[in-house]
Amino acid sequence: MNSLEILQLWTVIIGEFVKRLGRNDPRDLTKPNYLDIVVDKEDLVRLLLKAMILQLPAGDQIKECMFATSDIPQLDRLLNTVKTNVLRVFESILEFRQDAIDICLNVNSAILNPEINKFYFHIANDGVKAILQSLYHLSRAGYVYIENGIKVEYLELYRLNLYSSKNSMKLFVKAW
Amino acid sequence: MEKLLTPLFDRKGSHYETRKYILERVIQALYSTNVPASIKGAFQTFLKIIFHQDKKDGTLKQDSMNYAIQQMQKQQVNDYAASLLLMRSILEDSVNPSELVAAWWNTCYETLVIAGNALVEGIGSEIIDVVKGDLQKEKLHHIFIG
Repeated sequence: MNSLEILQLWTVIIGEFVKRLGRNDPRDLTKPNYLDIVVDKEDLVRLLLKAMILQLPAGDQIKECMFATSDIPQLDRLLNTVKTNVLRVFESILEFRQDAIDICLNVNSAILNPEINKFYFHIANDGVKAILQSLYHLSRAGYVYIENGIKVEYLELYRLNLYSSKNSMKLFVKAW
Repeated sequence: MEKLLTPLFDRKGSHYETRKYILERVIQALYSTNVPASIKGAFQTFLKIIFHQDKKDGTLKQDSMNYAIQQMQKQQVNDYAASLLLMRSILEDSVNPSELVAAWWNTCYETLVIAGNALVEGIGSEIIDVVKGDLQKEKLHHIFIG
């Protein structure tokens, strides 16, 4: 396996942990939800964000765009799979926060506050910023085949009702 | 395949030793550089079955998880694949109680972050080397895809 395939596998492991630590049905309060032991890890979110913005500035790669568009199909596929896996992890983490708020899970409120919790802070700032910027540059470049690399539905994963940029992001995705 | 193997695992008195024996050999094959990737994929199916049969005791899973972590701590970036494949086989079993997964997370976390950092930094360095040099597609393909 090459290093990109190993990184892809690494993101699968993180995703598998997150999936297994969460509760399949968040409303089933008889089962524990352990995602609070993930969302207190700032070094993990920094690492995931680094993996998310990895790109090779060569070929047809659009500048300042997190999606791999180098036009080397195998490389783009691997890089975009890594990014998709990272976005899935973020999706689970954000759903955990939303569930904790909606159904009053027994979670320390500080851990859910994006101003205090660095995991949510980095997703809300660096993560959303990278996606918005990427979407902007993609739309400007007129790319139409991005769905081959990253599923469009994951662009909506940010559940932006968590953040002040809710409306702008929704509008942006819709326009795009 | 699971139906074929289950009677073997359920033999009274010997099931644990049988599972342990098979598990050790499958893990050896997973880590062996001489075994082709396609065969390793088949071994992963074996691993999943063995781990699923281990649902009551959990000892084999715990030992295997510890083994994967120990190997990762010793290995270089390019050798992480077998340990990550082993971890995935353990984690993907739907019967794992979340308490156990939480304990694994606490045990694995530091090693996983160190490994992830090494991978991201390594790929980042390769990218910088490529950008400084020749940007021909064939060369990029060779470096990143192999």
